[in-house]
Amino acid sequence: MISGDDNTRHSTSSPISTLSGKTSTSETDLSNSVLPSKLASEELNLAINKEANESELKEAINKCKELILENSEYSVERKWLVRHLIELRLRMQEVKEALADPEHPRNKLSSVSNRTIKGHHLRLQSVLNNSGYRYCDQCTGTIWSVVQAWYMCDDCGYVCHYKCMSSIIRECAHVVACERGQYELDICPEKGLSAQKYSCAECGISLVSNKDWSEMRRCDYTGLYYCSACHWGSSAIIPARVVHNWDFKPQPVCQASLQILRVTSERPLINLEQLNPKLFIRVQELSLVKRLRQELQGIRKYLLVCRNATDKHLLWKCDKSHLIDNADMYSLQDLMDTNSGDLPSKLHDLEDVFLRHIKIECEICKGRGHICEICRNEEILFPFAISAHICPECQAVFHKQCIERKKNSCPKCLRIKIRLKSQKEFNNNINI
Amino acid sequence: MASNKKVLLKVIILGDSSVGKTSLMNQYVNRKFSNQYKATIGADFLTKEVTIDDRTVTMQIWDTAGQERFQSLGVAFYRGADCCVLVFDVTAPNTFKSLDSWRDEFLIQAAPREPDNFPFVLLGNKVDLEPRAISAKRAQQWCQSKNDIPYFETSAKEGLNVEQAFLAIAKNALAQQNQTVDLYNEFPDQIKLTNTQRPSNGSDSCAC
Ligand SMILES: Nc1nc2c(ncn2[C@@H]2O[C@H](COP(=O)(O)OP(=O)(O)OP(=O)(O)O)[C@@H](O)[C@H]2O)c(=O)[nH]1
Ligand SMILES: [Mg+2]
Ligand SMILES: [Zn+2]
Ligand SMILES: [Zn+2]
Ligand SMILES: [Zn+2]
Ligand SMILES: [Zn+2]
Ligand SMILES: [Zn+2]
Ligand SMILES: [Zn+2]
Repeated sequence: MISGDDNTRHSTSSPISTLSGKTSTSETDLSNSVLPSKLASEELNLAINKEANESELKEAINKCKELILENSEYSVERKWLVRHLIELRLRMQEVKEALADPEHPRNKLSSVSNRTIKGHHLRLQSVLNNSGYRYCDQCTGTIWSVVQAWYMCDDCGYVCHYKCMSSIIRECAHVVACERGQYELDICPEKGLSAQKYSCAECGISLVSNKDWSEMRRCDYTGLYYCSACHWGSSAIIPARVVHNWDFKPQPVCQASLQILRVTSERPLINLEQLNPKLFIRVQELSLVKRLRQELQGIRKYLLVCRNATDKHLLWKCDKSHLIDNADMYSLQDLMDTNSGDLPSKLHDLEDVFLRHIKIECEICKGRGHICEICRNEEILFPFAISAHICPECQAVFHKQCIERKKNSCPKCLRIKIRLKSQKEFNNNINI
Repeated sequence: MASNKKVLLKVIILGDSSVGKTSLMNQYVNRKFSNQYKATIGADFLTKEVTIDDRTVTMQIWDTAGQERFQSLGVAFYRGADCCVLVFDVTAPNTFKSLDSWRDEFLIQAAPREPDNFPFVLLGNKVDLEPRAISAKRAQQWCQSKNDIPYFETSAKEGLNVEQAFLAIAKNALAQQNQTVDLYNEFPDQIKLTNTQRPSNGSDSCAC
């Protein structure tokens, strides 16, 4: 069960994780167990401190074996000793590896704390970072963070043992996502097993040799088949299903897809208006979000040029700037938040704060509003209001109703035309 | 009037781009001048306390954008103005020709109760420069044709006549405000009527 044989990449069971980032497991890390009080007298012989050298570890392993035989089968002490024996063996292995490899991070003089491999920026993790239970993305084995040197990619979260670094296959999800700049937007674009020559789409291992067809897994995002080392049975919300069917049901994905979907979830990559405009009619929350974003864009123009708003860092109140910089691009997370109703209410709150500034608190912004010269109502009209009509020629702002009443002829444009005409006549008279 | 109420006078400065509106305001409020030109983007104001006939009043001076492309923001701040300052550059004839349309647009948007008596002040700026394109006489003629608008020749650069001009502006603004208050006291009902019962169909109240 708890085996150190991390080199067998294709073990029968593989870890399962979901997009929520939590790895599901009932096991606890080795380091969590405290030395049972009955064994206290043996403390010095068991190499509990992490500095032990090869011969000290060898002695401790022997001592541990002896004690296991001395303690009864289901006792707390025996359980602890078995676990400790495993830890000691892993540590022994690390010490041996470190002896054979001058670059091994366990050697004090080694400088291999950062490495760039396949686009990953891998950083050596502190022994103290034993937050959660992790599996190596390369060999799929458990990472015993207390005893094994391991690395994590700063950009995509890829993790692996030190000894697995040289055999990394997967490109950094961050690099792949940046280069592609767009999601796969066909739903499960399956090409068939023969097209991928009956081998895993990531590592290339044959998918038919071990005769166990159940170990062949399809990724709903890429539509390709993978071995169980590359596809752990994790699941994720698929952009193509959301865009075409407003379907948020998580689907099985390979680890590479999972990591890509994870690093891109907050990026505004989806031009929904272009991809599926009908969705705005079908989904009420979506049409609400669209309207709010359009209004916020107009509101933003005011705040950008207001010194009071700048002093108050008002625009910083929006933590996702793309939501108000433009009205078209959505991140997958935005769509999830729209579906849950969080985004519409968040945008509503933001709009309230902004409008309170513009319409009530700020004398400058209020002054920069418009007054409809057709009805001459005292109410200050802003171009971002739904009731406002902006003249495409002269930018004057009127009530929609008012300009319709005027049969869409803009009084300001009319004045400008008359002025130009009289100016021309005046110039002609001078020339004569 | 012996009222101790705080008086706020709202003054609007209008005119073509780079005639020196921002420079005049800075010279008056901060006594500073810069040769560098930085276009004003949206209307903004500064305030200055002045004493007129032993009364302290606060002037709220709105500087505006002369460049057309920065005028897409609205001019709701015209409403409630007590005086409008028109500025042209005495060395640039086109800036003088635009005065009529600045005045017309102001009257339409601000919609003062008595457009014919609303106080304007005209400033011919940059008199330190040569050659002049618009003579003082020509400017004064224009002022006469508009119900005797006061005219000042200024240089924001040299600080010439700036103080005097703004004092006149403040006085005119104060007179306008007192008049409006009197009007309110005399015919409060009538004013309410005209505000709420404007004819909504029919002719434009276009001043041009
Ligand atoms: N020689 C001289 N230059 C002046 C004077 N007043 C302004 N300037 C210069 O003219 C240029 C334009 O002045 P601004 O005050 O920015 O003009 P503005 O009317 O505010 O222009 P906009 O903001 O575009 O509407 C600047 O380079 C000033 O230094 C003046 O009285 N004499
Ligand atoms: Mg300016
Ligand atoms: Zn590994
Ligand atoms: Zn990476
Ligand atoms: Zn594989
Ligand atoms: Zn503001
Ligand atoms: Zn209207
Ligand atoms: Zn128009």
